[in-house]
Amino acid sequence: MDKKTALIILLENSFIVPDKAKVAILKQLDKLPSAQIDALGKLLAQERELLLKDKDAILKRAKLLLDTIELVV
Amino acid sequence: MKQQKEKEIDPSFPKSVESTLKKAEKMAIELIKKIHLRLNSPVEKAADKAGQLTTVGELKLLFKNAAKGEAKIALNNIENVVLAGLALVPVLGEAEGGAIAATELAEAAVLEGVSVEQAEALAKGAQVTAGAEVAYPLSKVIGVEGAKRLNKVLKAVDPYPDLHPIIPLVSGGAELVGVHGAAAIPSAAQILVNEFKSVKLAAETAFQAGKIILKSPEVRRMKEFGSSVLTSLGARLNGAASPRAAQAAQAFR
Repeated sequence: MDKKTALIILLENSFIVPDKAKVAILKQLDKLPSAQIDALGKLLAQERELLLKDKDAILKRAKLLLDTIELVV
Repeated sequence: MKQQKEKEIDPSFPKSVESTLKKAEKMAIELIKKIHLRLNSPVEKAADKAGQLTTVGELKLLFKNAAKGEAKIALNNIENVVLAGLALVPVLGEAEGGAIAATELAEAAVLEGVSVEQAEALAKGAQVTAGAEVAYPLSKVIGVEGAKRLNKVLKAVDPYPDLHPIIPLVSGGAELVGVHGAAAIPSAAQILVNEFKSVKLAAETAFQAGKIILKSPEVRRMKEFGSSVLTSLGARLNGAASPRAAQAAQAFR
């Protein structure tokens, strides 16, 4: 898989890149220097690792919100 | 929007307990209002955006075009992804005492030009790589607010003992996050959890002491919001865990 394709896939699942920035990045994907593609790709790959590592904790915290709300409904 | 609620307190309770009940109820209501304020409005905006397909539509189209001939991108969950992304920002922003509107975040996420001469680029803070390529700090690519958001998200899933090694690994410097004193920012999620614990405690106290029933369309809306966030989080996390994403991540190792 080439890095541009990989970047697109990682960008799609990213929490940290705002949607407007996603649009901007995708629009200029062909113009981005490889160093930027590499840096952004590494960041998003790291983000993915962190998300997977703490998947349960993230969901647990979200569920806590639900549980709390349900208590007073 | 006016919050409508009904309150029922068992009249047989002693007055001392009733006082506690009222206090607990007041605490719960205030916290619910706060949670509502910071969750409900942005969610409506996010839902509207998903419905109107403005940024979302553009994003979907771009993902589709970008994928042509290169990769097949599953677009089914785009709206959910955007909804979760937009919804989380005000949550985290408010939790840390600084309300950050999703629109401001979006506007601030400016992608700098990449075709300038090296000299001009250097003057703007870019770096020149060993391959003579111009490389901007990553915060320029994802925007300052995007970088702040990164920081918040990373801090929100504390504790991350390996957070600090990651940043230099990716960026080569602290410029990545564009925020100094990152370690001083408390975990947004922890603040939220603490608040939710307070709500839970107040509600439990009330339940133990007697019976308080709050009925409100607003509360139901929050509940629906919570469900949608949970669904979106799950979808995003599943996407990140997919073999396709694993393969993509492998390309940057």
